[in-house]
Amino acid sequence: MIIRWFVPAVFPVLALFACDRPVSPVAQDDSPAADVSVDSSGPWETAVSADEGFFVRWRLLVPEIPLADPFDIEVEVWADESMREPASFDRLFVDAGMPHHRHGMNVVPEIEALGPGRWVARGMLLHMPGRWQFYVDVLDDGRVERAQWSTWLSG
Amino acid sequence: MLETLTSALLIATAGLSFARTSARDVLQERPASAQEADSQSVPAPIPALGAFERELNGIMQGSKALLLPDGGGTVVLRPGRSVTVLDPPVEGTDRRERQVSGAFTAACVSVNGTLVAFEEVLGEVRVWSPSLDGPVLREVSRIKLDPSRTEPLRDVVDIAPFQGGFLFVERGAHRVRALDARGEERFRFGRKGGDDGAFQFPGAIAVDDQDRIYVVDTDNHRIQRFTAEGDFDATWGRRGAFPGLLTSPTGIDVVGDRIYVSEALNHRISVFDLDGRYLYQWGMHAMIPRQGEGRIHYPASIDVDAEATRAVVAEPFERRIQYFERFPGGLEEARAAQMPSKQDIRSHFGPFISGEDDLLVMGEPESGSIAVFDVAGETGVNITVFTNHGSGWDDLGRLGALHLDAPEQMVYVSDLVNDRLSCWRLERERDVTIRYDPFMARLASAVDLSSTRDKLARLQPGRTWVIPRIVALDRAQVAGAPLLAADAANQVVFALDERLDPISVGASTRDPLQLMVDGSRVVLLERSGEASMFRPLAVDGSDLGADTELGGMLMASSGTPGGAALHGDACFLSSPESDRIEVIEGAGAAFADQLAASLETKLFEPVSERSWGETGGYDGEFHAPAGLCRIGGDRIVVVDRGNHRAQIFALDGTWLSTFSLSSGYTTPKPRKETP
Repeated sequence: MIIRWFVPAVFPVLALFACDRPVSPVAQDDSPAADVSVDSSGPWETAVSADEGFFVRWRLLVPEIPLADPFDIEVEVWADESMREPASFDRLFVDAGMPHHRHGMNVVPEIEALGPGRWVARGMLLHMPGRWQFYVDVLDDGRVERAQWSTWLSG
Repeated sequence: MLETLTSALLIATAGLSFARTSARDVLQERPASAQEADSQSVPAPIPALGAFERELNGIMQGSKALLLPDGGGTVVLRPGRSVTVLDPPVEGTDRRERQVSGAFTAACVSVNGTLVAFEEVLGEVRVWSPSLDGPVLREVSRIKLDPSRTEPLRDVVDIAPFQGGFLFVERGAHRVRALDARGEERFRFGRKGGDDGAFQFPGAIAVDDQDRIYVVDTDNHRIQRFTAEGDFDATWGRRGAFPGLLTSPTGIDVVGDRIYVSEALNHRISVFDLDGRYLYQWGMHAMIPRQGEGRIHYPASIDVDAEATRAVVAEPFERRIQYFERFPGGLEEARAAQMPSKQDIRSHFGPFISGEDDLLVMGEPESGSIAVFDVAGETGVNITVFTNHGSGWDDLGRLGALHLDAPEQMVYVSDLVNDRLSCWRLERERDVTIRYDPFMARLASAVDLSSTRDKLARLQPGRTWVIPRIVALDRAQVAGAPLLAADAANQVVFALDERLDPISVGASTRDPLQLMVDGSRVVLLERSGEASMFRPLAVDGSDLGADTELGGMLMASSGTPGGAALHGDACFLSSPESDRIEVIEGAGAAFADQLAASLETKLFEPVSERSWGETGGYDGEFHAPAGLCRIGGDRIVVVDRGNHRAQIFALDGTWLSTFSLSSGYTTPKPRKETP
């Protein structure tokens, strides 16, 4: 895979919507940025996309997911399972939903680039207890591929 | 609840009998104060509950009904077939019809009562006199559009008189064009999209007294208003069932200071003021087919007379038009009579279905979702529902095609509004007990079809490619066969790889309906005038008859098939117009012959002994059957759309079971005797 790594100069707003929310545009340019560190609390977890086109490592930036309060998660997107090579793509979308309730989040998280392959989704908000699914959608050359995982949020 | 509603309906019907016979008398008998109140808010009259209905054969998808002024009768447009003027509806008298045949796709009535229709094949606007004297309509003018001066109009679905000329809604181009009386273009507006001034398959148009233009933006579920110059002015509406929201609006009429909108998927008429403020609604979802008296089922158009005393609604799904007259009690009575919609309806299966082996998927247009059924047993058991209406990657705007790959447990979905083709994976273990699992379906990938357009252009440069409109998907059941997509916008079939990237461009097709597969055999079903044409394709979608002038076979058909499936030597087609499943025998063998280069156009007729079904709601009967497909055990599943259910049959037509989202049974219900 040809590596194309673009780091935004401004924090783009990225979203995947469960309802009729408009898809926010993503601003990108070629300017490199230094790695940014974030305060982390949770252990790393991993997920693989549906067609194994990319590999995701993620962790909470809070001790645990709060109910109906905003929180952030750090997301890494890699081209290889050993997670040495950042994946190349045009856009990243992060979202969460409750398929059994047929809805998603009521907010649009902001996606901030931290460095090659590293992103943070700020302003995630799970507004009700139950089983939530997290989605990482990578758009490249007009095609989106999804990685997802589930979590249980207690009331 | 049902009894209560039935009682209410009987009461309403009794009242309507009175209104039907003397609606105008009732208005005249009202107290002077009430009439003054009406005149102060012109036009005050409120068309409301159904007065009586009129059953018409040949009412079809896209049909519209219009009222001639001064009680002059009703115009019925059967798109692609005819324009018919019916005499004023007087009970107890024979009905007279004046019909003009032709490929008319849009019609309207001008203020002075002239009837206008657009004939798309000839590119003509034809105008008839409002006079109904004599046995035929009297044509007063005919405007031939000159293609050298005016770009030909395509996929016109509505027309409206405008400043001496006409406005045309070009549905597939997502735009409106204004032509003068000589047929020369004045201006145009609209493009595909969801922002202000853009459309998603506009369906109808109307003009108010100030020449402001109102466009029904069907798949954006809204109304948009434009100035007389075609500049965007205002918009209102979003998808939903709550009063004031709109779901799949189809028709519009503006009378005085009121806007009447028919909504296909809310099964009602909503009324707004000229600024889009919601006023009231009428209609109620028909729970079972053939319910009239105010119940509306998938309305396709609304037309209100100039005095707003009478309205007509076309319901192609019910093969009827319904007339409505005003509530004697005016607006308050209309508001008080609001009735719930969708009562007791759990399943709204749309036309789309795909099945194989032990799995089945069906579209559910009202919720914008797709239901998955396990059909390993004798009936269908709903095991998951996925996707919602919306614009996100895992949402659905409007279903265009559906394909299930049962061995791989993959579902491919074409979305005509979001211009997307998506692939869902069913995480399901086959050997465990059947259970409902809302998390079963996972979006695996999706492609933006604008990128597909670009890739098609790289595959086959030298022609103009637009964003594909995929209306059929299927894959030959042989190893390595690509997924095939029938693209109505570019009028081709193309093949896709596992990443949903196009890999080859196959047969040309003007009006594709469905792809059918049986083993290695692939057949394209396409519309050809009023007939349907079978065309054998190679597994990569290329045309087997490309090297000859005779590339396919014609089938005599009563209208467009609702769905089709191939099985060995036979082809099964559902007929929404005759409520039957028609079986074409020998078609399979003929396709095989084609492989042997014995190419010959042949006329096929359904074999009556093997065809089955009749109109009704009992097991084995249909109302507007739509998609059908084969499943394991040599069975056929039919979407019985009007009865809000699906039915399973053996290949000889023997009924096996009936099911919906929430129920299924294999013992036929006893037929009730009609008192």
